[in-house]
Amino acid sequence: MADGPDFRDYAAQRSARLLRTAFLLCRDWATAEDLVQTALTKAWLAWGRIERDPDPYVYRILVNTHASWWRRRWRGEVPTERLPEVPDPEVTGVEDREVLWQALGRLGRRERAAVVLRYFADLDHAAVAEILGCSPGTARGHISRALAKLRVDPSIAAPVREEVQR
Amino acid sequence: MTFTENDLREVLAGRSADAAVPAALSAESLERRGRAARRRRRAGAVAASVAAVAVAAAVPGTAGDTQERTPVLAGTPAPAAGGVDLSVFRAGGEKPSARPLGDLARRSALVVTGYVRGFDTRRGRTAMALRVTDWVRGGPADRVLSVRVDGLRPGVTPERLRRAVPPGTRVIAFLGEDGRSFRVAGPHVAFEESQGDVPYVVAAPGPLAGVGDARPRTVQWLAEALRLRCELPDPKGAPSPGVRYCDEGWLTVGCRGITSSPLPDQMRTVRCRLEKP
Repeated sequence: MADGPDFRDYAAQRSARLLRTAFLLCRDWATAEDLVQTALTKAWLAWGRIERDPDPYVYRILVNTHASWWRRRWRGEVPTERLPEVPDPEVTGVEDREVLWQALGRLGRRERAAVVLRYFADLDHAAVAEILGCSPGTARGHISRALAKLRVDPSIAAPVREEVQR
Repeated sequence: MTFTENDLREVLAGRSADAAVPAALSAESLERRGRAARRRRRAGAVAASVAAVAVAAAVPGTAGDTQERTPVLAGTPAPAAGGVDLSVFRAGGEKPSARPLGDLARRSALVVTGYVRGFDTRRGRTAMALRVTDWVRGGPADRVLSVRVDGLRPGVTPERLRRAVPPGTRVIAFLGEDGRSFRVAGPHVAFEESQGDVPYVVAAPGPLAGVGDARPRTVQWLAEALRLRCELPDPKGAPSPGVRYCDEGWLTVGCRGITSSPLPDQMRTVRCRLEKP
């Protein structure tokens, strides 16, 4: 890449952010580390061909790799180092956030990816669409459906308020 | 309960806040993996022919001196190009254990060398079929062991493990005896590193102890794995009565030599010195 950032600089600056995104996609830190490692290794192999901002390219690798692992990987056993989190009812808001987090986990893979890219990576619909490999309208549909699912999720009593779309 | 988009943002940000970037995601580590991946990709095309040559060269009497032969035993499938991906283990390819391998060997009921035949995914992600080639410690039993591999990082799936440890990978296994079910702590399984990029087995500070039925070339390979220099007086020796004992860096190896006539015990027994180069 002639004018783009050096791979080392990019990895140093973006690894933490990519790791957080990967965790939100797969909800497991060990898998998230594997996912980022694989994505950045793939990016390294193609680094010379990336001609502009590498973020969309790396995000796309991340999402696609997660999708392929989702299809292929055996998920019958999910080892964990800690017991599932228990909400602390004494602290205001924590229980609500726990409910929302659990509900997010019940979303479909693409819907969750769209929500993470939209609300965590803070990308607009066009960028989300480019990463997911679909049209902006379809990306908007994924996000709408995700919010609709959250709205009717049994654990969430009241509807999710949708703010004005940017 | 009412949520807004900001609540979603807060939940996503809060949940992922405690991200700690591991050393495996450093740029240097990623570049190393990238180079290995590129090498594997390039080597993949010729892997089959290389495997055939390796097996042919390993048949005793068909290729040169024992010391010059490839360590792949006859009939052993060659490991896939690129070697073992040690990142599936908690140790991550770094120093596997604080305990010296000699100490592990003494505490183990069985120490065997062999190669990986495959993984039985139906029986759980950790059931590895191990084809035994030599017993370094403990009595011979079945030639194929079902070995449980521990010490894996959380989330490692059977497919990932199978890719990481390809069939034909040579293994030294330190096993506890529990019927036919063997338990192997991950760091206690020493995998041969064909590429040598990340030495999984570091030089053991203590001597290797073992009693069993090991071949001289197995001893040689063990020594190589332990990064020790091994001087075998008779590298062409046939399968031996056993690696008798090792004390202060000395291994006593039974070697029958190439003659079929019985020899006195004292002549069959040779000593080889294992020491750090």
